[in-house]
Amino acid sequence: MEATSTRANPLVDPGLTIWNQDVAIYLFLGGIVAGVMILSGAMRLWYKQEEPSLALRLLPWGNLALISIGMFCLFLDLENRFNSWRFYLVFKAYSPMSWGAWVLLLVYPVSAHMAWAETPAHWRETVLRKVPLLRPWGEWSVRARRNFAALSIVSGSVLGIYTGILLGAMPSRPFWNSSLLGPLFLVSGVSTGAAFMLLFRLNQGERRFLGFLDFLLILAELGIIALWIIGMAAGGEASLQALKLIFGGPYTAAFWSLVIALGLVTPAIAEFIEYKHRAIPGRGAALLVLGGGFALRWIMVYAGQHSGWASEASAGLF
Amino acid sequence: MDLTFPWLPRGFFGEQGGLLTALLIGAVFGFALERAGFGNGRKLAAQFYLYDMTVFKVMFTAIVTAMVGLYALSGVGLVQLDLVWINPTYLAPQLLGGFLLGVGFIVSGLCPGTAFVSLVSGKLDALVVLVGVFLGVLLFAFGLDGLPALEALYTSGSGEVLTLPGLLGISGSWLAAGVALMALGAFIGAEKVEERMAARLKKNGADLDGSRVTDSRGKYWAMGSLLALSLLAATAAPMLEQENPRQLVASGVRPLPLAERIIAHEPALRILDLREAGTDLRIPGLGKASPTSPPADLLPGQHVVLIAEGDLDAKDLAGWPQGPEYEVLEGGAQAWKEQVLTPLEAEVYNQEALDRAKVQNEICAWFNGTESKAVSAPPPPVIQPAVGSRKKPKGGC
Repeated sequence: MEATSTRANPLVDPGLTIWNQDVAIYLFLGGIVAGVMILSGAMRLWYKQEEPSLALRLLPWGNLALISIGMFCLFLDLENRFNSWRFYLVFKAYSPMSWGAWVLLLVYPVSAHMAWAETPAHWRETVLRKVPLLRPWGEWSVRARRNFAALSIVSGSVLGIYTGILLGAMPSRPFWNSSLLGPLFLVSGVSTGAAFMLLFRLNQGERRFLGFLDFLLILAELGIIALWIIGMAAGGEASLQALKLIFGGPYTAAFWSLVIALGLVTPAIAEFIEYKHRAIPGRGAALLVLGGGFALRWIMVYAGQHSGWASEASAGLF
Repeated sequence: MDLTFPWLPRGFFGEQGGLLTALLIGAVFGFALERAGFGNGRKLAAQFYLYDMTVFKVMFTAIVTAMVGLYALSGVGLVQLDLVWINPTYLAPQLLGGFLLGVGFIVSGLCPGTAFVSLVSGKLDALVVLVGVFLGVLLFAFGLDGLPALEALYTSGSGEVLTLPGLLGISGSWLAAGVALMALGAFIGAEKVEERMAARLKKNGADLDGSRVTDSRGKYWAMGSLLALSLLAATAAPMLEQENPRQLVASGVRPLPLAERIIAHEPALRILDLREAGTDLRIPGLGKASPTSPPADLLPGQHVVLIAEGDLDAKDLAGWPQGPEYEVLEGGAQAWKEQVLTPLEAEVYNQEALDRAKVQNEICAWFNGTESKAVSAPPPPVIQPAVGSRKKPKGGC
């Protein structure tokens, strides 16, 4: 990892672009799953205003579906697909990719326990009557519900932050090479997770709570993006050239319109208006947040691979 | 973007800036349409039942404002009207297309623009309309490939650029004043019509959904101001034109960048040699012209590079048409020969100078024919006029 990410890999220059839409889709879905895990865990532990809605209780099942689609995209991206099991023979503490592989393995059981424990009791009972073998596990799972909620928050946070660190740990790509990418992807993941949850039929109180939380998360995300930009602007020549990708370069319009204007600022205004009871934007704001989250990852993946120490960006071709 | 802001220099925003500006303008436009109530299909339908003429009045006001604005800005020399793209006229297909669009308007109560406004304000009927629009476009595109009769209809007509000032033989500014006056009369008439229709419909027990506008005199003031402005533009423009005859704007281009553009076969690049004699520049597709008699086939959008013996002053090109983008080769033919056709030896031994010399010598070899492709290289492509061509550009509301 270290050797290949610091330009010892002869393919990095002048323009190695090996990550495509599969990776962007995985990062997006991984972010949503991380967000839903954190929020559903946190709401189980601390949100006690009213009985959770059916939608909120069933949402952790969605995590299993989304992470499976994401991992399938990741699988498609692999060059040697049938060697992927080798990831699970070792754990390299200094490699974000190794962390990711193991965290993804943790996400499945945690989400499955969460989902089972949150499922309404009479549905659980129907299943246990049909498959009595599951009864000991099923009942233990419900008793340990709060522990799984806490574990869900922890594994969701690691999943959300590792995707950013994975990109940020590549010195050969100045556009990615920032420690702020971890928090940025985490906050964006929680924000898109909240938006995803808002698409379903939640209680009035849950809607209001998640809507306002999403508004705060968007503000935090805008702040982190500002710091990330300042970090690049204060960096060396390669960072400055990388910054030009979104300041006049080929990703300028996409970044400022799809991510900032439509994906962050517009839904933040809409959610604030909704919070103030002035109007109900409905699911429109949530859809914009999801679109913006996807655009952010898409642009990150593609623009990042355009940046480099000797790529078109540093040659000043645009 | 050059179409949206023709008074700014070409490329002022760049492609990316242009896209962002489009987003900004689109947002403001959408906001205005929504506030005018155009996101509501009933409003547009009411227009056709004549009891609410808001759409007619807003659209006519927009047309008159744009028309008067363009002629006024052109009159004071801020806008070059000949840079503004005008759709060529294909009468039969445009009449048929307009009729179909009109039917769609009445059935759905929305046009493509207001359908988007309606959709983002949460109305799902607009989604159905937009799906219909895209399906229609798809069907038409397939039909154009598969049905020769449809293609024949699509390309039938002269394809000339017809404008009212051209057809009527009067100045555009006076025409704008006439249209502004007509709009004022039409507004008064429209108010009368909608009062009568609303009264009749109410008598029959119809619920008009509160879509009648409140009566206000402000609109007459607005139209009167537009009329005054257009009259001012019509009278002031010729005087300003006389005082400040338009000067051709030409930027400079250095020999090596020009050589690279030639090698890259830049589309729409046209190079003209203004010298009386000499064929020694070795530029493929080089045309000849004289400063006093420009070629007749210069088109808007072309990049025309002019080469004189030495430097050229834009003032020498008084008779050249506005429209193409002119560039003048800095240093003229002499600089071309020295910097492109003459191999360079790096005087200083450093890597940068050697690299530069290497690039220049490769370019030099290309033009001097030491590489085989220099001989067979095709001349730079010249853009063809859209007028009269088989495929015509698409556009619309």
